[in-house]
Amino acid sequence: MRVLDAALLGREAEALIKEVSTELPSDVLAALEGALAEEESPAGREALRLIIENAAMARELGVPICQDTGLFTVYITLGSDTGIEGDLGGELDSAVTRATMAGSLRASIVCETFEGRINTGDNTPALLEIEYGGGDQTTLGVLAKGGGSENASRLAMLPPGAGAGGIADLVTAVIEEVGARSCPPLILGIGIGGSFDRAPRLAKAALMEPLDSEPAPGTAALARRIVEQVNGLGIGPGAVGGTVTCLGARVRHEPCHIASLPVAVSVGCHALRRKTTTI
Amino acid sequence: MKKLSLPLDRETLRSLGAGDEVLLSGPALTMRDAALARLSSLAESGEKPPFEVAGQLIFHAGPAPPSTGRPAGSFGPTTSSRMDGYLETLFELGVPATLGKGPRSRDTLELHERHGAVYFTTIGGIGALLAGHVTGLEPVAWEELGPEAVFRAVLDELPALVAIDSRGRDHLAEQYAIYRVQSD
Repeated sequence: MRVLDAALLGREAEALIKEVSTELPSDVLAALEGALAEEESPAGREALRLIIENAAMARELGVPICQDTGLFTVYITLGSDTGIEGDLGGELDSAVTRATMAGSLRASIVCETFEGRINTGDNTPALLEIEYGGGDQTTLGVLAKGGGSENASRLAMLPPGAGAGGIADLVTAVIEEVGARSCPPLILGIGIGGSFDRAPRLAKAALMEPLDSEPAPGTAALARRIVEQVNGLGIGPGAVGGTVTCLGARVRHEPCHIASLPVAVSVGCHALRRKTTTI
Repeated sequence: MKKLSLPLDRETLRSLGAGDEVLLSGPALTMRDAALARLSSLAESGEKPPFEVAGQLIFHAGPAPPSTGRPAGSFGPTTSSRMDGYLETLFELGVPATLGKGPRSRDTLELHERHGAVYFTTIGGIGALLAGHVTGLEPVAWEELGPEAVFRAVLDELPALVAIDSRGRDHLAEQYAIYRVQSD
């Protein structure tokens, strides 16, 4: 049995939080460059140029890509026969605090959410998603998600026979309603099946998949359809109007009840800040 | 590209048309969710906030901390439509213009027309770049709100676009209609 020290996982998370806050992933940057070549609207192209210049400036100066440095989710996928020793929750919160202070991140989290709304001051707590992957590797990933894109995310319990067309139409309707408020061009994580609570987790976890990686079997056609429909909305880069509203979509799915088709869309902004490392 | 000095006078506001590209320079006040909720409840009870909002450009934003010699390491707009419910209060208090990201709801077009007010939009998610167009930043009130406190930000040629002009014309909605693919 392999035993991992929670403090070590905390240090890995801290390093990733600092990195993702200032360095846009290379696959997202490549997608933005591709969008610049494709975009038909002059204002949309100018928005893309500013977005690309912003990424270079953040990296060069070591300042946050966006002032909304987000809520941090830590994804841990444990390999077979692997356990964790120590206070993982405490170590991850401490990692978020250290990264916030060292990286000049904005304090964007409040507690007492329905009355008072007191800023926690250090971006704690971190959200933790842990699963048993069954492979021989353990991975740790960090997703920093801003409020604007999170507010645009939705869950629907579709009729069981809605199919790929119904799912694509749902996602398109969601983005038509709220996409312009959430910093397009967007990256969409789609979670299908499972249950009411599982679908949004699948959707958000799908945002962790690099856009240049191989999509899960059987999901590529649906993802393409979603991207094409969303790009027909006309919202464009920077929400100034244009032909590229979506840079890419990733789909994750699980079996579900015969009566159900839960579908969630987790909206990622163009500043999609995420990275996964092998422990 | 029109270079505008803040605060904006009514004549300048009337001269702006939906879609105009502008560079904003001068002082603005940051106000977002928590500060606007406070301002609104003060206004409801007939009280005044501890700062002057009349004539000010209200920037819907909350800065990241100072970094690398900049007053904010990263600083850019938040979603304006979330603030739509406070817009009438702001206009009644004499605010002539707001700055944020994304479209505002259709209900606000008539409000802009009635008050001769303008809504500027700038690109969201590029706070590292936009912070380079902010030369000063100091808290004005409600510091306990952290990044949601009211700050006076001094802008230096911050690039923006007239999204809603003083006649209530909605530039973004017009652009979306142009690039929208008609479904059959």
